[in-house]
Parts: sequence; structure tokens; C-alpha cells
Amino acid sequence: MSGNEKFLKVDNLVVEYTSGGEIVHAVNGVSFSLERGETLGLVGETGAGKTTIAKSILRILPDPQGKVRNGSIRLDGVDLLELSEREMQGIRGNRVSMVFQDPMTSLNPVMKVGEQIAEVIRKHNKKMERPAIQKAIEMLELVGIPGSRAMEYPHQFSGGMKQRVVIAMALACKPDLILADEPTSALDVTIQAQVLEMITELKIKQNTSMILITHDLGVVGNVCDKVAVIYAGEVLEYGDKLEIFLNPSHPYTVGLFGAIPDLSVKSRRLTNIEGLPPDPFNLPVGCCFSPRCKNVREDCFKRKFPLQQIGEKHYCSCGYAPLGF
Amino acid sequence: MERVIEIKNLKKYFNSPRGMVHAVDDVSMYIEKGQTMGVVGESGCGKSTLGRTIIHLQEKTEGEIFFNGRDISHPKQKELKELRSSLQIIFQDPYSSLNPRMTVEETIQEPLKIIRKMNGEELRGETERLMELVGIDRRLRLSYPHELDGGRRQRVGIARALSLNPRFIVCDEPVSALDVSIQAQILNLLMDLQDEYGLTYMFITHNMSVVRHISHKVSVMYLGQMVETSPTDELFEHPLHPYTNALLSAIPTTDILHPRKRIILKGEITSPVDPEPGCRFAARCAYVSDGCKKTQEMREILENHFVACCRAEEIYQDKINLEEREP
Amino acid sequence: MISIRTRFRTKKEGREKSESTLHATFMRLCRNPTAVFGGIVFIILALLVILAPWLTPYDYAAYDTKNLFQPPSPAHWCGTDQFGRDILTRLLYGGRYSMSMGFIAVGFAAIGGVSLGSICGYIGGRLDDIVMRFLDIFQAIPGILLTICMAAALGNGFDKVIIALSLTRIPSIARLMRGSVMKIRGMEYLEAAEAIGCSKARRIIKYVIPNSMAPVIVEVTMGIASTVLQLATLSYIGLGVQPPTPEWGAMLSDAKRYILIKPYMIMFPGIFIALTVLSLNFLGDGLRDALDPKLKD
Repeated sequence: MSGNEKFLKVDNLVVEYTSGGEIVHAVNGVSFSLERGETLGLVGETGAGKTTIAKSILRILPDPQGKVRNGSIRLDGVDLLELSEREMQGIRGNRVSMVFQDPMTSLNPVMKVGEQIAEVIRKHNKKMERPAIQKAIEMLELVGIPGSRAMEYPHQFSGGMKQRVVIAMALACKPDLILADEPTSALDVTIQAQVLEMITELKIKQNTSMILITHDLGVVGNVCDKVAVIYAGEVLEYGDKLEIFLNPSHPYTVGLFGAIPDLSVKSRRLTNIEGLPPDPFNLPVGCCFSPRCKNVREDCFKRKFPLQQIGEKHYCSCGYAPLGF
Repeated sequence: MERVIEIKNLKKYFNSPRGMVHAVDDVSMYIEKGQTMGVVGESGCGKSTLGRTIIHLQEKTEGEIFFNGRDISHPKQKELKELRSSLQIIFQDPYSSLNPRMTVEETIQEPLKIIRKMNGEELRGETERLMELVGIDRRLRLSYPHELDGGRRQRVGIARALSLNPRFIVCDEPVSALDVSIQAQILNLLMDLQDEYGLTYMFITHNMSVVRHISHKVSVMYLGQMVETSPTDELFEHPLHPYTNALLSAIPTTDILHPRKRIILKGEITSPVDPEPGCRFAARCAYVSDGCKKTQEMREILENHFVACCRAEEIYQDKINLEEREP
Repeated sequence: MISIRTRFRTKKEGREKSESTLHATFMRLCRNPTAVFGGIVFIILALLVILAPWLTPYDYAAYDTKNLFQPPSPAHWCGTDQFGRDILTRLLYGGRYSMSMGFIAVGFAAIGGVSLGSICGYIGGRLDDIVMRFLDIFQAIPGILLTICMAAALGNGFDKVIIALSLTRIPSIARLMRGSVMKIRGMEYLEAAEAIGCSKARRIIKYVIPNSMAPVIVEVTMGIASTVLQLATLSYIGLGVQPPTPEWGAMLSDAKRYILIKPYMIMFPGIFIALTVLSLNFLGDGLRDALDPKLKD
């Protein structure tokens, strides 16, 4: 039953990378929250900062280049950024786990898949009634891989199956939160459908919360409950999926929807967003999207706009969005 | 309308340690002038190999290739060099399709120097013209690939392909590696160029939404075989082959008010090595029957709409019945 | 993995001149302290050696019977040898032989190795098999032994020594180049080059070699150091240069008799050899890091 305390609350997260003496402003004040069992879609293009956010939650940013400069990440009230490394190790793979994008490189090529799953289980369970490998086989069956294949090596599996193994590993300790970083982008469309279906089923069964990172609005539409649109390390639009899909407000979000060739819409030319994503070494003063915005005003170059509520569960950071254009 | 490209019973097999890989197996098709033929399918279906084989970037194993009616199945050295001008290709990966050691200018000038034998003022002028055509700022001519983003690199690749004034261009997933907003820019560019110069494209992709926008006709491939081909709208409105159905239904849509009933395929893709005769999709098909063990012929089921499935009529009829029952 | 910097590269818009990889590599090299140290030391040594005639008043071959076996003094900074010859002078002139022969030998080896390696790596097939087996045979024999045998077989004289030194080095460079070429063989820009009518030869020269040279450059730099050592070894056992040519290895050989009573005679040539090899190795290491930006990020 949901209390007032949100399950996951990220507040004003600021993350920087140092590269060759210069600073990359990867995440610039991101806030969002998640209830138990909810799925949040983090949508944005390459370099927007989505993966950085996920890695910050798990505290697996590259050290010493990546640093969290500000903000808090509260899981059930506990700020993960304040925990010791040892405490974090108890959380990774156990309460919070991550599925990475490329299944080809996420698995250890010289270890049998069953062993890899069993290893996660053993790490987080001191006492066990049965050997971990048995539990690992159960997990494989859960993701649709015959248990007999537990003793095979990753190279003997196809891309889709490798990703399922990775998901089995992520779910092995029944985590409360899964961070999925473009889990199906590297897969064929029909396999993608299979894997997404499976993730959704398991999520419901175990009441796991999920943060799904993707650039594909279609996937978001199918799987997520909430959406946060990320651009240049900031949240531009945030809220309930239905509200955002039916009424996209931020010019960037509108542009994203317009740039996607949609099966149901037949038009020869696609509306596109001119220009390029900003240089994170050199972010624009004022609204980060202002250089590319078709409806930009004088004001936009000078000041930033905080997220404002424009619907029941709908927030937008464009100062001129609700007025329409 | 004249057929710029026509292939008959084209086969491309590779010898591998595991056996003979049937990358492209008995594919026939034609593409008319100024049209875009979309070739769709998932990994391993042979679409990239098909494109490269047609333009002689890879040598075919069997079959015939015609360009503007001329048989170019076995070109001699000199003919091949001429053909390079007419048949070009744009690659998928903007990060590996440009020589990291050559500037934008040098990359575009290569074909001009080698084949059109240009130099001096003429060379410079033509390079500028091409850069402007594809929308690259003149000031970037001395830039190296690693200094440009994916979209710009892809434009360089397009300029390079256009430099020889080709008639036919194989576009091998030219936007798959780009961000959505850049994808739209490049697709618009390709369509504009086609309109202006009457170019003929073979557009290879696994993205059904993209293919719908840019293609006039679509061919669906599975494991080296062509399973369905028809004009674009027709294919999307009446997909006949079970695989096409599954493919279309698998696409996540942003139209969340009208969720599609997803057909989830069982099993995995079978191997293209020394395959069994007959339909290769049979192992995952919900309509599999004994007839599927024989080689499937491409048959015209609806107007201009060909399918390689022995039960195509039945499946179509079932669908109609289903649609009639549901409002 | 694309580095953060490359992913976000949108600057450099609107620039006439741009940052070539050569320039970028050089900047990275300069940020590496050991490489810079190695570079400076090597440049100093090279300058000393080149400017020898202007730096020393002595003749390297002149006997001076009144000043035999002098320890280091203000008149003779490194002392004199058994014939009264100024050791420092001999070291400076000797460096000309050691270093130049080192460079030339490795230069030839590089040309041979790069050509062989890139052809075998790019074309592959039968040719590759045959050539590689041939090189295998060469590499099966320990390097210095091979060099000694070749030098002994070819006889004395600068050119013959250089041939021996370069031949022994070709197989390792060829193999390295071949491996590097095979890594980029599948790259699309090679296919693209073919599609625009590039001949195989042009592809190898303009596309393959420039993009797979990096490991070879490092190997060549280290190779100069190792060749200088090999040359010293050859001279030490009498197969290299002949007296009175003041090659460093020969000087070591001469001095070995007097090591207990006149240690300075063996010390100084040893120091010069060590400094040359060390500085080149530092430089080579630095180059390896500078050429592979992924390591740094």
C-alpha cells in the first residue's frame, strides 16, 4: 500500500564529468519520483544524460571523472548518495539492479550463464536452502530459456537470448528497482517485442519498479506509466504518459513526436528539429533548447524556466508552452 | 516505366566453417526509375548482402543482374569501372564509413579524382557544389570525421555517393545509427534529392515506419528469401505473409489510444547455414502446414502484391472474416 | 567505446583549419612527462652527436702516448683510453655511427615490414599463409643470434651490418602491421573506397596503411633503441665496425679488459648507451599512449 513517502525520489541531481581538464555538465538539476511497481520512461537522444542518471543511482559513475555535485537520491527515504561503498554493494544487484544496452558485451564470455546468475544470488544471500545454481535455472526458465542451457557459454546464445540472461541476472534477487538502459535497442523488432513483453510480465508479477531509458517513444508508449523527457541534462517535460502523449507541450517533445515516421500518419515530409544537441562543455545560457526552438522568444535566451504544472500529472519547463503556438 | 535495376534468381552463398551460408537465396525483383524500393527484414535476412551484390561490391554466386536493360551479370574490368559511376551506396555507420585520416574535402574528392579525373579549379568547384547540395557548411571542408557528428558524417557519405552522378543508390540503413531528430533531416534530404535528380533507391532498413515514409514499393526478406513484395500502402494495409504480419505488429507505436494486438513469435531465428528446402519461416509460423516444406513460389494474391506463402489466400480470408466480425 | 569528448564534438564549426590526428597526438604526447623527458634527452644526445666536431678539439683516432689511461679531468672530461685517445670525443663521434646505423637499419626494416605486413594482412589467403610461415622460420631463431649469424655470414663493413640488423627486424614489424591491418579490414570505409573505384593498391596505400600504422610507429621507436643495443653487441664480439671506428659497443669491448683498474673506461660508453635506449623507450611508451586516445579517457 502506498504511503506518502515515494519509493524513489531524485531531487535536483547534478553530475559532472571532467575530461582533459574541462568539465562536462552531464546532468543539471534533475528531479523525479517513482512509486512501487511504476515504470518511468527516461526519454532523450544521445548525450542527453539519461545513462548518467541511472549510473548515479547505482553509484557506478567512472571514478574519478564522474562526480555527483549536488542533489539526493532517496530510496525508501534513504539517500543512496550518503551510503558507504560497502552499503552500496549490498544494494547493487539486490535492491537495485541494472540491465545494460549491449547484450553482446554485458556477459562474461568465459563463464557459463547459469554460473553468472548464481554468482549474483550467492553474493546477496548468506544462507540458502538450495544451491544457488538451482535458483539460477529457475530464473532462466522464468525468462523463457530452457534450464538445460544453464551450462552453456554466452557465445552460444543469440542476441535476444543473451539479453534475457542479463534480465534474469537483474531479477535474480527480486530487486525493488530495475534500471534498464535501452535494453532492447540492439535487438531486432520481433525479438524486442518478445523481450519487452517478458519484462512487463515479470515486473507485474514481482511488483518491481522500473526506470526504462530509451530514445524510442513507441517503446515508452507501450511499457511506461510515467515519462520524463531529458535534454542537455535537464528534465523538459515530465508526468503521466497518457497526458504527455495526448498533449505534448514542450517544443522539444513536440519536435520528437513529429520527427518520428509514424505508421498511422501518412505525410511525405517529416517535421524535423533543426540544429544539433548542445555542446555540454558549453551549455547555452538560458533555456537549453533555445538555440533550436522554432518558437523561441527573446526571453528564452536569458533565463531558465523551472518545471511548472500544466496538467493534473503533467509538468513542463517551457515558459511559453501552455499558451500554445 | 523503365526498369533501372532488375535481378533474376539472384543467389549469394558464403562458405563458412559451419557450412554454406545462404545469405541471399533466389531473389527476383525490379525497381523502376525514380522509385524507392524498400527492403525490410531483421538481422540475418540478407538485405545488406543483397544490396552489395547488386552493385558488384560482392560477387554473386548465381543469377542475373540487369541495369537499364543491359545484362551486367558478369562485367569485365573496364565495364565494372564505368558501373561504379552509375551504381552507388550509402552506408549505415557514419562512424566507420569515412576514412578517419581524410578530411571532408578529400573524401568527396576521391571519386572525382579517380573516376571523373578532375583536378584544379574544376575539382574545387564540384566539391563545393556537392557540399552545398547535401547541406554541409563550406567551412567544414578541412574537418576530419571525428570532429563531426553522425548526421554531418552521413551527409559526407551522401555527397561522396552523389559525386559520380549515379542513377541507382543502395541506401544501407542510412539513418539507423542517427538520433531521431537527425534522422528526419537526412530522410528529407534523400527524398529531396530523389525528386530533383530522378534517382532510384534501394532503401534497406529494419525500421518499418521509416520505410513507409520513403518507399514506393516494399519487399520483405526473411533468412535470405523474399517473402512478400508490393506497393507500400498496400503492404501496410494488407500484409499477407505471416512474417510481415508479425513484423508490423511488433512495432511499438506512439498511438497509444489504439494499441495494436501484438503477434509474439515463438522461438528464435533458424540458421541460414545449409538450410532445409521450403519456407524458412515455418519453424516460427502459426500457420505452418505440410505444404510449407516445398519451395514457396511468389504468387500474385492481390493486385501487384506478391507473396511466397502456400496458405496466403486462406490467411487473407481469415483476416477479412475477423475484421468483418469486429466493428 | 567512444570517448565522452568525441561523442559531444560539435565545436570546430566554422573553422578553416582543423585539428588533424597528427596535431592531436602531438599535444597528447606533450602532456606526458616521461615522454617529454625522453624526448628532451634524446634530442640533446642527438645534438651532441651531430655537433661533435664543434664540441671537441680532439681527434678521435689520434694517439697520445703521453696521456695514456688518464682518469676524468678538466682536460679530458671522460678520461683517456689505452691509446691516450679522449673518450668523450670518441663517444660523440661514435654516437654518429651507433645512432645513424640504428635509424637506417630500422628505417629499412620499417619499409619492408610495413609493405609485407599490409599486403599480407589486407589480401590474406594463400599469399598470407606462405609469407607468414616464411617469417615464422625467421622468428623462431632468437633475434641476437640471428643477427650474429647474418653479420658473420655477410662479413664486415657498415652496409653489411645494416643489412643484418634490418633483416632481423622485418618479421616482427611485418607481423605487427599485419595484425593491425586485419583489425581494420572489415571497416566500411574500405568498402566505400572500392565502391568509388579505388584500386586495391590505392586502397592499401591511402586507406589501410595510414589507419593501421600506430602500433608500428611505437615498435619502430623502440626498435631503434634495440638496434643500437644489437649493434653494440655485434661490435662487442667483433662483428660490427672495425677499429679505430669509435662505435659505443666496440668501446665497451675494448674497456672490458680494464674494468677493475679503470672503471671509467667502461662506465661512460655504458651510460651513453643506456641513456639513448632509455630515452627512446620513454618516447615510444609515450607515443603508444598518445596514439591511442581511448586509453587516456
